[in-house]
Amino acid sequence: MSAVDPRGTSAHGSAPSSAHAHAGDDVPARDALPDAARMRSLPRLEPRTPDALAGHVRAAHADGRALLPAGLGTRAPRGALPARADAWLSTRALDGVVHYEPGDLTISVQAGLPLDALDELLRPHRQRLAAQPFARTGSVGGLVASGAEGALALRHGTVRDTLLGARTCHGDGVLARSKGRVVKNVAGYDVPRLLVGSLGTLGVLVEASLRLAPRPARSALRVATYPDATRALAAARAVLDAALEPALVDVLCAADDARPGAPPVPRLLVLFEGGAARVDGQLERLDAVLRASRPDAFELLRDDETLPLLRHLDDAPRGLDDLARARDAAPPEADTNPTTAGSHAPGVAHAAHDVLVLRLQRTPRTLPEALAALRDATAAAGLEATWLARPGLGSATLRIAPRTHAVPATNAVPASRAARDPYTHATFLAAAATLLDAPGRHSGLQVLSAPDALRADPLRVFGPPPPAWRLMGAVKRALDPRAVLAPGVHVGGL
Amino acid sequence: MTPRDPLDRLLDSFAARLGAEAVVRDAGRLHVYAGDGSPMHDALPRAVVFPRDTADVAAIVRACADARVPFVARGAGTGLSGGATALDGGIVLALNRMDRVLAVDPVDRTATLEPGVRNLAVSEAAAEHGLFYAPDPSSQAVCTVGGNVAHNSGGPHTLKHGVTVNHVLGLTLVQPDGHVVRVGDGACGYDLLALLTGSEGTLGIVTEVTVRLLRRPETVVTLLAAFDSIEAASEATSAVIAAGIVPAALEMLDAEVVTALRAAFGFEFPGGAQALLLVECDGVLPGMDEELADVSTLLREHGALSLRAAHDDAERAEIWTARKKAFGALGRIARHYYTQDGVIPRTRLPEMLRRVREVAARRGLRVANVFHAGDGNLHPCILFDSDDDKTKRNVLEAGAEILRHCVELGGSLTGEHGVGVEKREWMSTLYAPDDLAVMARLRDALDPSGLCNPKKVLPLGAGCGELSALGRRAAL
Ligand SMILES: Cc1cc2nc3c(=O)[nH]c(=O)nc-3n(C[C@H](O)[C@H](O)[C@H](O)COP(=O)(O)OP(=O)(O)OC[C@H]3O[C@@H](n4cnc5c(N)ncnc54)[C@H](O)[C@@H]3O)c2cc1C
Repeated sequence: MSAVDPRGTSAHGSAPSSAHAHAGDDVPARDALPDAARMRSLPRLEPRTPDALAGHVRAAHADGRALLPAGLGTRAPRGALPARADAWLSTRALDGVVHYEPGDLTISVQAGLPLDALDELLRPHRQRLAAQPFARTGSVGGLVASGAEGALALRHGTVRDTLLGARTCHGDGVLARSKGRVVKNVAGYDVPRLLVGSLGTLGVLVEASLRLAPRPARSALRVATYPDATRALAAARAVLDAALEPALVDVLCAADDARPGAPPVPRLLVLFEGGAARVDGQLERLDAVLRASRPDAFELLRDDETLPLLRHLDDAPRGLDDLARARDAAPPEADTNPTTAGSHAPGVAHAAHDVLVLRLQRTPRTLPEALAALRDATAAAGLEATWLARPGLGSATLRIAPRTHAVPATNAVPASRAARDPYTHATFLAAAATLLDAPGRHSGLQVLSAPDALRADPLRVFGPPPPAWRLMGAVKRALDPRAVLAPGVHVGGL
Repeated sequence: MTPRDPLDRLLDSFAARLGAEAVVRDAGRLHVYAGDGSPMHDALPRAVVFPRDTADVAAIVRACADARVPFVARGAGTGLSGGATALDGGIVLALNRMDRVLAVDPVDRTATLEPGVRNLAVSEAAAEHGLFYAPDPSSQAVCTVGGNVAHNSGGPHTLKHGVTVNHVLGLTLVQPDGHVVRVGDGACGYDLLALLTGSEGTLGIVTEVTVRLLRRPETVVTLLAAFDSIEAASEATSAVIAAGIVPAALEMLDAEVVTALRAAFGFEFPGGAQALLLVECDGVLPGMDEELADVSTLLREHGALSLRAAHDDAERAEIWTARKKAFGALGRIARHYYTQDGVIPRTRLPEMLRRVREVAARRGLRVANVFHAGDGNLHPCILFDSDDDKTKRNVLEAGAEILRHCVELGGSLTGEHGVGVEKREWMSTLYAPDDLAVMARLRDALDPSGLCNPKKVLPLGAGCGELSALGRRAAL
C-alpha cells in the first residue's frame, strides 16, 4: 500500500513542522531507506515508446512497486532519498522531435531529448530555448522536473513560464495531455506547470512543448569585481533600479583564478542582449551607474566570449559545482550514471562529495540579509560557500564545502576545529547538519544536492513544509494514488 | 407558520453576519447576477452575498458546504464564457466589496490585493513608484484581479509581458470546505499557483493575491499600418516575430471592423485598407530607433499601404482608440455580437482566417475579426440582429465550428476567455477521455464535495469512466 499519506491522521491544516529528525505522525517511517549500494544495483528501464513507458508504470502500480523517473542522469538526484525504490525509469530512449515549425517560435519534443541536441536543432534557425538557453547538460524532462532557474530568468522567466503543454504518464500508468503547443491557452487545468519542479513525483514527462526565443544579434557581459559581497549586492540593486533592461544581473562569489587559495571574490555580472545599438547604448548607461559603485576591476565579454560563463550560470547548481571544481586539485570525473550520480561511495576524495548545494528563495528586499546570515552560519560551521545570487529575483544558490583557504587573521569567526583536526567525511556531515538543522530555518531554504547521509530526511532537505502542504498531498494522491513515482522524494515526504 | 426553507435559514445566518443589505434574495435584483459578459449563458442564482474579508468568505463557504449548497465567486461579471453563473441552484459570492489594495512594495515590486480590486486600479496604485501591472485585458477598467486569476487573463500586452500566471506570486485561497490556505510566496513544493491560476473558480475562492509589478518602460512607440488584405497583414505579423523582434503588442483589425469604425466613429483610414495592424514597441531608449526602423521596413516589405507612428501619449491614445472602440463600433452595426476566443499557431493565421470566412459565408453570418495577432489568439465576432432561437443556434454552431477548425490546425478552444459553461462540452474535441479524467481527478481532490462552481470547465461526463463503474456497482 501507499507509503505516502501526507494527510495522515492529524487535524486539518497542520503539517510536520520540525526540521529535525523527529518526523511526527504525518510522515511515514523511513527506516527501510534504499542505501546507495542498492540504488546502484536497481534495474534500469529505458522504454522506447510512450506506451511502453506507460506499461512499466501500470505494472508497478499494479504490484505496488516504486519507480524513480530519470532523464539522462547528468544531474545529481534532487530531493530526499526515495522512501522505496524498485527500478529506475529513464526517458533516455524517448529523444525525438515531435513538431517544429520555426515560424511559430515553439517546439514539441520528447522528454529524453538532450538539451545540447535541442540547441543544435534550433541554432540554424537563429532560435534558442527561452528559458535556460545556455544549459547543455541534461534533458528536457530533467529541466522541467527540476524546475531550475536559468541564467535569463530575470528577463525570460523559468521553464515554468515557457512550458506550453505536456504529455505525461501519471502514477497509475495513464498517459494524458494537457494544454498544447500554442503560446496562449486556458483550456483546462494547467497540469504541465504543476509538473515543473515536481521532481518526478507527480508524473513522468513524456513530451513537452516549449516556447522559443530568437537568438539575439549581439550580447555583452559586464563583469565588475568588488571587495565584499555587500558592495556587490548594493551595486546590483543600483543596476536593477536604473533605466536598463538587462537579461541577467547576478552576483557570483567564487574563487579568483588569479589568486589560488585566496577567499572567494564577489563579482557583479550584467548581461545585455539585442541589436548593437541597444546593447552598446545600455552598456554606456550601465558603466555610469557602476562607476559610482567603485569596483576593484572591470571586464567586458562580448558575443561568443560570454558563452562559457553563461553556461555555468545557466546550469546552476551544477555550473556552480563546475566553477568551484575548476580550482580543486584533482577534478573528479563527471558522474553521468543515474544509478550512481549523487550517491558516491565513501572514501572518494572529499572535494567530490563533501559538498552541499543549497537554494535560498527570498524576495529582492530580504535576500541580502538572509544570504549574509547563511554565509555567517556557514563560516561558523567551519565551511565555505561559493555562491550565485540573483538579487532581482530574490534567490541564491550556494555551494558549501570545507574551507580550502587560510582564514585571514582579521576574520572575526573563530578558527573551527575543522581547521586543526584532520578533516573527515564525518566532520563535514556534522558541520552540514548543524547548518541545516538550525532552529528557525526559513521555508525558502532547500537542499539541491548533498551526500546521501544528509538526504534521508525530507525535513532536512526541504525544511518545514509550506502552509499549502496538505493541498500538495491531495494533488499527489490524485496523480499518483499508490505512490509509485519517486515516493517520499519531495517536501514533507510527498 | 410554515418552517423556513433551509436555504432561507442559511441566508438569514449570512445576513446576521454581514448585515441584511449584504444578502440579496429578491428575484428582481438577482437578475443582475444571472449572467456575465457573454450573451448566451444565463442562470438565476438563488441569492447573492457580499463578503467583506477572507473570514467572511470562509464562513460562508463552510456553511454552504455543510448545507450542501453550491456556490460561485463573482468579480465584475465581465467573463465571456458563463463562468460566474450559479448553476445547480447555487448562490453567488460577489467579491466587489473586497476591493482594497493592501500593499504596494516598490523594492520587491509587488502589490498585494483583495480579489475585487479592478485590474486598472493595480497599475494606478503602482504608478507613483513608476511601476505597472502588465496583464491588461481590454475590460481592465472593470474586471477584477480575482476574475483575472480565475481565467489566467491576458491582454494586448501579454505578447511581450506574459499572462496572469506569469505575474501571480502568492495567493490566499478559501478551499471548498472553508479552510483558508496561503499558496506560493516562493515556498518549495508543487506549483499550486499554476494549478489555481486559470482554474476558473472551481478549486476554491481566491481572497488575496500578490502580483509582480513591472517598471514602466522608458519609451513606448505605437505604429498603425494599413494593408490591402488580411493575408498581407498576417504575413507581416509573422515576419516581425521571425525577425526576432518582440513587440509589446501586435493587434489586428479586419475589414469588417475598419468599416464599422468608419461608420460608427468617423475614423479615417487609407482607402483600400482591408486590415489594420497595430504594433507597439516599448523599452529603453537606446536601440529603440533601430527597432522601429526594422519593424517599419518589415511592414513596408510586406505591403503596408500606410504607416503612422505615435510617439506621445495623445497620439498613442488615438491609435489605441481604434482598437479599444472596435467592439463598440460593432455594437452599432449589429444588435448582438458573439465573440470567440480560439488560438492557433501563428503561422496558420491566413489559413484560419480563410476558414472563418468560409464558415460565416456558408451560414449567412457576418464575422468581424479584432484580435491578438502576435499570439495567434483570434477573437472572431459573429454579428447578428435577431433574438430568435434559430439565429442563436446558428451563431453558437458557427462559433463551435470555428473552434473545431482552431483545434484541427493545432490550436486550442480558448486563449484567455476560459471554458466556463460555454465550451465545457467542446473540451472533448481538444482532449481525449484520459486527459479529461486526469483533470477531473484534480478537481475531485481539491473539491470532493463538487459544490465549488459546479458544471464548469470539464464536460459533464469527464472522469466518469471510473465514476459510472462505481455507480453501477452501487446500484447492483
Ligand atoms: C469588453 C470585454 C473585453 C474583454 N477583453 C479581455 C481581454 O482582452 N483578455 C482577457 O483575458 N479577457 C477579456 N475579457 C474577459 C473578462 O473580462 C476576463 O475574463 C476577466 O478576467 C473577468 O474578470 P471578472 O472580474 O469580470 O470575473 P467574473 O466574470 O466575475 O468571473 C469570471 C470567473 O472567475 C471566477 N472568479 C471571480 N473571482 C474569483 C475569485 N476571487 N476566486 C475564484 N474565482 C473567481 C468566477 O467564478 C468565474 O468563473 C473581456 C471581457 C469583455 C466584456
